[in-house]
Amino acid sequence: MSTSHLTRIRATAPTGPPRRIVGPAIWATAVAASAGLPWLVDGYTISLASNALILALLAASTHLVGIGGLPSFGQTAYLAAGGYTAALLAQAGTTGAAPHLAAGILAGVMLAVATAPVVLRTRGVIYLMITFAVGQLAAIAVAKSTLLGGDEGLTLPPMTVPGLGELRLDGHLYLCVLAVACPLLLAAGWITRTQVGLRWRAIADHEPRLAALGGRTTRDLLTAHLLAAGIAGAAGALLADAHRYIGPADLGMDVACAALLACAVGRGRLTATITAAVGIVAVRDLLGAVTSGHATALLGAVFVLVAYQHLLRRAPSRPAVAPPAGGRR
Amino acid sequence: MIATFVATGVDGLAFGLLLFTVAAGLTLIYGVMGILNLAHGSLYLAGAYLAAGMADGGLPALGLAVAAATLLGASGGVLLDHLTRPLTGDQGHLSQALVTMGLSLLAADACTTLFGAAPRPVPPPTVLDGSVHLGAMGYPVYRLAFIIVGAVVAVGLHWMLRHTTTGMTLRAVIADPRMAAATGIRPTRVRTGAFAVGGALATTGGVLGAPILGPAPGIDTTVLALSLVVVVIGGTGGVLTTLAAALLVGQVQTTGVLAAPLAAPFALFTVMVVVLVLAHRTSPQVRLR
Repeated sequence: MSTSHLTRIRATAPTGPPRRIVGPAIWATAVAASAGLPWLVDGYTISLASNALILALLAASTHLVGIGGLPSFGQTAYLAAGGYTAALLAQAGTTGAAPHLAAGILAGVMLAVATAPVVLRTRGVIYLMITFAVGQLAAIAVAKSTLLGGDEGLTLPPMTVPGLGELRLDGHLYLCVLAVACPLLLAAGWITRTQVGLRWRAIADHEPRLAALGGRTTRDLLTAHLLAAGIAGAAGALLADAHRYIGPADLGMDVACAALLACAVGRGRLTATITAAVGIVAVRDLLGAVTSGHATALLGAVFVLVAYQHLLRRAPSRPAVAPPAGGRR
Repeated sequence: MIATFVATGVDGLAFGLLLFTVAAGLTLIYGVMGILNLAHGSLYLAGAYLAAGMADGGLPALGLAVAAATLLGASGGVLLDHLTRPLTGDQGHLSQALVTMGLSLLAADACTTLFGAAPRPVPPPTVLDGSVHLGAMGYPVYRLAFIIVGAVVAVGLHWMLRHTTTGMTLRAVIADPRMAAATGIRPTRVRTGAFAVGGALATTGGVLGAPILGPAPGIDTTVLALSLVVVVIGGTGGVLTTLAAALLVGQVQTTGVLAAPLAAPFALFTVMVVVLVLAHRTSPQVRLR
C-alpha cells in the first residue's frame, strides 16, 4: 500500500516533559499574539488573518484524512456545504453565529456521508483523482444553481453574536473566527493523538497489515472523513460570515491546492500544517500583491518545490538499510 | 420539445467526443506509468488559446493550428515525462501528481497574463459555420463535423491499440513493465511516447474543441475535472469504455442540464457512485484492451 508523504510521522510516542511544556507554551503564545492582532495592525491585514485561520481549518481538515494516507483535493466541497448552508440560513433571517456554525458542521458531515461510498473505496492517487473531481463538481454545481446564486454567489447580512449584536468591524469578525478556530484546531490536534489517530497513521503506513490484525480500516477512515468534513463545514460557515459573501471563487482549485499544499509542507504535523497555511496566505495575498497579481504562479512554484524537496530529502537516506530511529514499520 | 432534445443530444454527442479526446490522453498517461497528469487541462487550454490566436476563418489555418498543437502537446508531454521521472519511490505517484498540479497553476497564471482574464470566443472556420436544417431544428455544422472527427479519433485509437505493433507494445508495458522489458521493449521509451501522444491528444482537442468549449480562465480545471470523472467511470476497460463514459458525461452535461437544470451537476456524482458501487471497484485499473 502506498503511503503518503503527507503522513510522515514525527513523534507519535509520548514525549518527554520538556516538549510537554514547550508545545502548549508555543500554542499559548501564538493564541495570545493572535488575539492581540486587531490592536496592532490595520483592517486589511486583519481580514487576511481571518482568511489565514479559515485556510488553516481547511488544511486541518485535509490533515485529518491525510494522516490516514488519503491525500484529499476536495475538502472544498464540504467547505461549500457549510458556507452555503450558513448563507441560506442568514438570508432566511437566522443571523446568529452559533446556529450558522452548527448548521455548517452538520451540512459538511451530511455531504461527507453522501460522498463516503465513493471516495473511501479508493486510496492513494485514485483517491486524489476522485476527491479532485468531487471538489470541482461541487464548484460547478453551485456555479450553475440559481438557488445558490450561480456565479454571483450569495451575500449575507451581518452575523450577530448574543450580547454584542451585529458584527461589522474586521477586528470583531476576526476575533469571532479566532474564537471558533482555536478550539477546533486544538480538537483536531487532540484527536490525532488518541487511539483512533494512531490507527489512522497505522493505516497510512501499512493498511493490509492493520486489516490482518483485525483493524476495521475503512471504518476508521470513515471517522476521519466525517470529522474532516465537519471541520471543513465549520470553515465554510466562518468564511461566509467573515466575508459576508460566499461564491464559486471561494471553492476554486487554488483553494483546494493551498490546503493540500499546507498539508504537504506540514508532513503529518498539525502545528506545521497550520503554520504553512498561514504562510501560504501571507505569500499569496501579501507577496502576490507585490508581484502584481501573480499569486497563482507563486503557489504553483511552491507546489513544484515541495514535490522535489521531498525527493531531495529522501534521496541520500535511501542506501541506509536500517530504518531511522523512531521511524516507520 | 422533442426536437430541442434531439438537437441538445447532438450537442452532447459532440461534447462527449471532445471529452473523450482529452480523457483518452489522460488514461494513456495514467495507464502506462500510473502518473496522474493534473496538468492535462492546461494542455487543453493551451490548444484552445492556440486556436484563438491562429484561427482566421479558413480551413488551412485550422490545419496549421492542429499541426502546431500536435507539436506543442507532444513536447509538453515529453517535458512532463522528464519532470516526473526522477520522482520515484513509494510516494512517487503522489509527488508526480503534485508536480503536475504545480505546473498547471503556473500555466494558468501564464495564460491569464498572456491572454487576459476575458473569455475568447473562437469562431469555427467559415466553411463549417452556419447550421443544417433537418426538420424544425438547425444543427451547427461545426459540431456535426467535430462528431465525425471525434469518431475517427476514437476508431483510430482503438484500432491502433488492438491491431498494431505499437499498440501491442503499449499494452505489454501496461500489463507488466518488467516482463515487457525482458522481451526487449524499452519501457522508458514507451512511457515517453505515451506522454507525447497523450499531450498531443489534449492540445489537439483544445484546438478542435475551442469553438465548442472556448478558452477562458478556469476552463483547464473544468476540462480536467470532467476528464477525471470520465476516467473514473470508464476506468477498467480501455478505449471503448472510456468512449462510453465520455458520451455519458457529455449527455449528462447537455441533455441532463436541459431536462433537470438543478439536478444535473449532482447527476454526474450519482453516476460515479452507481458505477463504482455496482462494479465494486476500488480503483480504475487501466488495461486498454
